[in-house]
Amino acid sequence: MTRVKKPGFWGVLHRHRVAYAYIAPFYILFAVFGLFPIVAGLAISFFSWNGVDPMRFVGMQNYLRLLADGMFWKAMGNTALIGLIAHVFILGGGLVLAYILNSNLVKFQNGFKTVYFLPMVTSAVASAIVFKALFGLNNGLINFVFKSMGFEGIDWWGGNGDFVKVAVIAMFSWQWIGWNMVIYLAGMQAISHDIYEAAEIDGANHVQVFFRITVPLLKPIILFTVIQSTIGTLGLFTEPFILTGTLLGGTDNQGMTAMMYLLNKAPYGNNLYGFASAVAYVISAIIIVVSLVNMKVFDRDETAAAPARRKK
Amino acid sequence: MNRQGFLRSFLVVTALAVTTLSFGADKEKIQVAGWPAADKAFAAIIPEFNKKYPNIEVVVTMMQTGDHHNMLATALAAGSGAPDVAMIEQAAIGRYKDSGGFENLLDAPYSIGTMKKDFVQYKWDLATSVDGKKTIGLVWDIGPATIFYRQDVFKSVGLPSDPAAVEKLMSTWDGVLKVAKAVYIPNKRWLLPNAYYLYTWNYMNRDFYNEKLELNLDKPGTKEALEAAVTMRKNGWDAKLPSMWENEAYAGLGNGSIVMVAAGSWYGGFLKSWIAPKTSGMWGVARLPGKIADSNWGGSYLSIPSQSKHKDAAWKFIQFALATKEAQNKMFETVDYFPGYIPSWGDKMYTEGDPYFGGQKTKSLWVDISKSIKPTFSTLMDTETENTLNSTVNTGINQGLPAAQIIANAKKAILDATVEDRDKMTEILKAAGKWKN
Repeated sequence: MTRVKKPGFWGVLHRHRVAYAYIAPFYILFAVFGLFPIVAGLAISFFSWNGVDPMRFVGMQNYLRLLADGMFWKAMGNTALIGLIAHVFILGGGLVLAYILNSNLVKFQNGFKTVYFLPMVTSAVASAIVFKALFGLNNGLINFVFKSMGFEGIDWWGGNGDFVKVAVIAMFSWQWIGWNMVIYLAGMQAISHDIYEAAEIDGANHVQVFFRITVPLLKPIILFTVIQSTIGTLGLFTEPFILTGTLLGGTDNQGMTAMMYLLNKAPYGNNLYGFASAVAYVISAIIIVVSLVNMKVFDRDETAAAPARRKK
Repeated sequence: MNRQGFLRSFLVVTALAVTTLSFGADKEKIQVAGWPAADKAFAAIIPEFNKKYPNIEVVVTMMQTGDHHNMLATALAAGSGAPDVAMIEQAAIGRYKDSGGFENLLDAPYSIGTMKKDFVQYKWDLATSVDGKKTIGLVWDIGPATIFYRQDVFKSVGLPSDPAAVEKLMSTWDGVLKVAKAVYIPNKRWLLPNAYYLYTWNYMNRDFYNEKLELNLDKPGTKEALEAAVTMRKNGWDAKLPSMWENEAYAGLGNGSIVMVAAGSWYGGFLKSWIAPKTSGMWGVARLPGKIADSNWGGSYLSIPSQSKHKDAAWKFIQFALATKEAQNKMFETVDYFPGYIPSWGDKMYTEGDPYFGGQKTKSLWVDISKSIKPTFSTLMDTETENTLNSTVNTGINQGLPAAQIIANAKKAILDATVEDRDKMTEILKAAGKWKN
């Protein structure tokens, strides 16, 4: 009991200085490229700033104007709709593909893995140009097929703008399905083979195994991909931007996503850095809320399912 | 090679490298940034420039137009990373003319005020601040606007094909619709990439606002233009492409399934070099249809970011490139950037015919148009206004709305989209003592 005083912040730092020195590179990089922009962005969101001249404090004005802007809500609505529909294909499709590859139903598994993952490592700009050619109105490949079968071509970019989202969803799904497939596949390989074997002996078919074993045991991984996807969807930009050819998302702004709305404020269309920072913060807040809701939903399922398992 | 031999040669190479580098250091290096085809233009004049200034080394970096302006905006906000000479497109100059970031070229040592009469007036004014005390860019090129149309197609469907007759025929919107109907073949050939251009051609100058910042979408003749666009769409006479900047539009113009487009003179260079190089001799050039006033579309400036450490060398380059007949015309010849420097128009090349346009004297037509373009009032809201206008008019025509409804929708959308910039613009006008409300 010679020392009464607890070591303070600097004391702890000093005592573990070697360990801190080892982990310092990450924190220094994070402070410069992560923390500083986060804090500076929050500060800037309360100012009016064109990037060059002195900033002018405007309080909550950016946030109030943003929340009152119908276009922002339209962009959010588009993003939600595109995200929800696309993820039926991205997550559901990824899960099914991973299950098929994992259960030895097909040969050439590595070949399929590579093919499905390929869109992920292809530049979004390059593939958007290819998709643009697919969805062309007069010379597009899809309309060519329709026309040669005797149907009318689809006016992808015009009309009421309804088909703009279809094109964006098609490309978005195409790009991300392989990524989720790989993650699910990794998760499935961690599930013990004994469980599958037991199910097989009990006479379970593939559908039952999929819904009763694979999906429940993959829950933490599915949660991870859902949160990742939420963030990815709110960051969706390159695909709709190139497909519609404008920051405003084509006919009736049907292809305008939240990220396009943000980047149209700064630096792409305008110089409204303060306003754009406010948009970024509102989007971040939405990501956090949606992630929390996701975690709550998945957690409740887990606890609800647990007693049922114990009964056995 | 033994070890000593290796060491020796290593030393020699190092010594050589060091001496070369130190010789290199005597040269002042300036970075010039912009977008293609400016690289070809600069490449054409840099040898001459280096004869005059052997100690200035010009390094050219090119990006896409959009990326270039984003890079510039980011570098200005960050306080470093900007080039020594920056190209700025006309649509973007309004973002900077009333703010900091670029050298005021009216001040010494640049003092460009003395050259003012040599440059196209309206273009000069667009780079000048509201209070008139600052000009941030020297005029490079302008874009006197004309239509480009396929003479052979016009002829083949029994329409007049020489520029004067085409201009007369299309001086009314009924005439334009007549042409659209004549060239139309279902699923095969259309007059325009999109019908909405009939309306938006009226705003090529980006003259959306007056000095009271009142949005003017009711210029005389514009409603009739929009009505014609709606009619054109109802009959299916346009290719319904989202814009003329689409691969499908380039393909259509290249293979003759789209036969007309309107743009600044620089579009002629696009047609020749990459959109429709195989159709040389088939194109004609004429004034805008529907009695639209002579207009300018686009063109750029060269500016010096204030953060540059080589302002003197940068200015020497700008002066050489833009304020001499020889360099301006050399670049015009190379990439079709029509000089905003008036003395260069005296060259005999301006009276010559262009074989790509069937020998038509297009350059003298563009000079004529340049002389009659009225000055416009530019604001911070111009880019956003233009984008929103194109988007709403395109939407309205796609949805088959009547013209009056489309214009009303556009007004509302534009007012909503420009709230922030309107505030700032009002402040700028007040600070300059020019606010009139």
